[in-house]
Amino acid sequence: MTRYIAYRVLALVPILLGTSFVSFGLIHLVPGDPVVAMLGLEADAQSIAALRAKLALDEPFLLQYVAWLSNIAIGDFGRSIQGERPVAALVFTALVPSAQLALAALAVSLLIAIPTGVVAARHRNGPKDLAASFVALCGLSLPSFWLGVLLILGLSVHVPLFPSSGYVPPLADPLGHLRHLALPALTLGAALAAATMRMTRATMIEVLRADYIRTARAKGLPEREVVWRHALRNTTIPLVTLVGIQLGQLLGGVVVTETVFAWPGIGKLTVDAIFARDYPVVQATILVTAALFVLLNLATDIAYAMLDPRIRLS
Amino acid sequence: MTTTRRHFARLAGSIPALSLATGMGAASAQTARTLNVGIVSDPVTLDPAMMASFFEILVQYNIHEPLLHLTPDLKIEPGLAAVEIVDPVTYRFTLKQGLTFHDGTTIDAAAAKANFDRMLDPATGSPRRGELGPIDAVEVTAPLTFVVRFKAPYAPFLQVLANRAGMMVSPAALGSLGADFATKAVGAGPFKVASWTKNAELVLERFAGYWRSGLPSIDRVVFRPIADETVRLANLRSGTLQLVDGVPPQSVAQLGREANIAVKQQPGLGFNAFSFNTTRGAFADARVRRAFVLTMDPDVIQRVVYFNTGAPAYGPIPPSIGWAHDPAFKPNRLDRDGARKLLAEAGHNAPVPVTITVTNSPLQVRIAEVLQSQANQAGFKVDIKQIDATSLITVLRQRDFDLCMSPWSGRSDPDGNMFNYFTKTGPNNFAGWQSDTVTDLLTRARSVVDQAERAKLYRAAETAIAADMPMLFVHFDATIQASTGRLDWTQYADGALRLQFARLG
Repeated sequence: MTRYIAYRVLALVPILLGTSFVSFGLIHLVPGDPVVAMLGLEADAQSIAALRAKLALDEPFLLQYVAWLSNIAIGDFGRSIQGERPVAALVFTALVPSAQLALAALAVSLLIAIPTGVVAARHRNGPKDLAASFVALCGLSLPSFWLGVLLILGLSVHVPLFPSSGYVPPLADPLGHLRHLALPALTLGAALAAATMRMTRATMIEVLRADYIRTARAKGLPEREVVWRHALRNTTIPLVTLVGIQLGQLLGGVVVTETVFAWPGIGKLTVDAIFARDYPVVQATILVTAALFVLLNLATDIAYAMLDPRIRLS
Repeated sequence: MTTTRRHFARLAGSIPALSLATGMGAASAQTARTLNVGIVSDPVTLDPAMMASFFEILVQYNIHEPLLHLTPDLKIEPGLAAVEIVDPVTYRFTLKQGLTFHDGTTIDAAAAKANFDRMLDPATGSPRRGELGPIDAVEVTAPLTFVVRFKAPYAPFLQVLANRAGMMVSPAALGSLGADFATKAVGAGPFKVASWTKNAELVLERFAGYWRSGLPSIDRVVFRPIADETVRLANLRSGTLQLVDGVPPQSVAQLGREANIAVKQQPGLGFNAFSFNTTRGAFADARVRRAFVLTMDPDVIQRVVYFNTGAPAYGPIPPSIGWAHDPAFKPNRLDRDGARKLLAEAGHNAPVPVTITVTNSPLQVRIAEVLQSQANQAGFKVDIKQIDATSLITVLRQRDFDLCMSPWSGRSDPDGNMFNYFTKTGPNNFAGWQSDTVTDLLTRARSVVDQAERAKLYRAAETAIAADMPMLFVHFDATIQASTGRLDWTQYADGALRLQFARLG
């Protein structure tokens, strides 16, 4: 087990090297220049040249890459081109709200999806199933910018229950933090819940046909116990897979939701940096999200082994 | 397995713990005199020597104080200093006594000279270097007095000093903060920077040492970047924000009917225009450029795209610069037959294929579509090419276009709207237009002190530009901002907020 984990963590290195080289190449291929983007229309050629030299952007591509890489190796992510902020701090301060939003959205999603999925499976093709499927379809089809704006209009302009946007750090104001978190988490959770509910329903239907469920019923267990204890437990493996992927996507940034709710997450940071051709920031965000994705996959595999003792990691 | 499980639990548990441990920014505690301002985007930098983006305009005057102050009707008043024009190439500045920067450093002539030297040093890469004009030397003559000497007369100088180039920063803080100065800026404005979390909030606090005694009356200003215009307005309606920038033209009528919300608009300092590529392709021929201009009905764009805010533009001088603007100047109106005739003269018998390049902003795309449909009715075959905002400057500089949007945020002096665009070597002469007449007129206008005389020169230049059409002028955009009714504030043509004068009722 320990060897397996060590191996997977070591495998991160070539993955990240590959990712960083490809992203470094791609961002340099995109037309537009970070110095021109920063100095705008007012700068003369001399100022542009001076800043390019200061940022070492006039060096050959490979040399820039190697320089960046060797700095990363000693833990120096450098400073952003726009605003000269330390990149590591920039990414970390964006990652925290992203992680909070991701976890809250997942919680909302699971709270909606698992009960409705189970109920839909129990009453397959009945009115309850149809209703649940219809709602799930709506959740999947509603674009998050639209649902988000709708929630703002409904729950903060007309009925002022929640703040309409912004971010409050949990340490500064725990209650305010949760209130600011509510609408974006609901928006994202609704979209995620649809997929999770469909998955729960499908797996549950299969599990309910299994022999051990018949055995459980035959030994006289109440239906509630059969479904929620024996059957549900066996649906968790595909659910964990799905949730692992969803969490990875959420941490990679949910630009639209972050934009609508002015949530200072990693998605908006990345997109802004791409538009500004802010190479060091783009590189760092891609590196960090790629690493998170790989680590989450590893966590998912470990979770399998914990949930199902028959699975061995090697 | 047990160890693994424990590891896993610790790993999972560390995520919320991690988030709790970061105290980002300052608390958004609401006091009676906190003003929350919704802006389109974060500023890029708070260092006035390096500011180059439109997004800094809203923030800059709240943190930094220029040497001279610009009134709402574009008059120059003393700011940190009073100025005396000794002769056309010599200006003597006297700083107010007993002033300090936010960090307590004294504001004296040596500090001012250090600011000028930094902006003028090519190694700084400051866009201010060009704006400051042909400065020969800055000399300290007394502890609070310094003299700026020019190699040649430069009439826009005082207007330039009421803007970014005149904003004095603490030389001590420049040294101690290093690269962090861009985010922590120490100036002499009415508010000082308390904290800045990117994409979340820029918090400013009242500066007790501000030179206008008793001001500002607001204790805290929080700038919140909200990119989506619908959400920005929803936040104003819900009371989360008390002031918002970037109100879209189509919302003005609706907002005006709402109680507790005040909309303010006035003509801005800039222009929305398109540059013709005069160096290659169909538009190298002035007749084809004129023909294209004749296919356009400025009133349609005014109505359909701008919902009757702002005003149609015929040249680079906006109505807000009253002393130079000529309201009767309307050199072109819709004339499709005239356009066809010009095209025939230029030897075009089939529709002329041209491409309009715009960024993917909805407003600019809509303008391009209107231009396309109008020009296609009178002898052109127009394609629209969309690019991203960052590529725009590169496309313009490389002249990789036929007709490309080149809007300008504007300056309070006509020189700032014309010299760089229409002189032969001007950095913003994207058209590649070579006019000796206009270059000469604009150069002379820099050296004349008398305003009426300058106005004549600028109008002559405008007429010469309209005759040869290196640019297609579309619109003078209005500055449109909205606030709650209980905020008492003044709007400026440049769109900047000067919140030292604002009061929350």
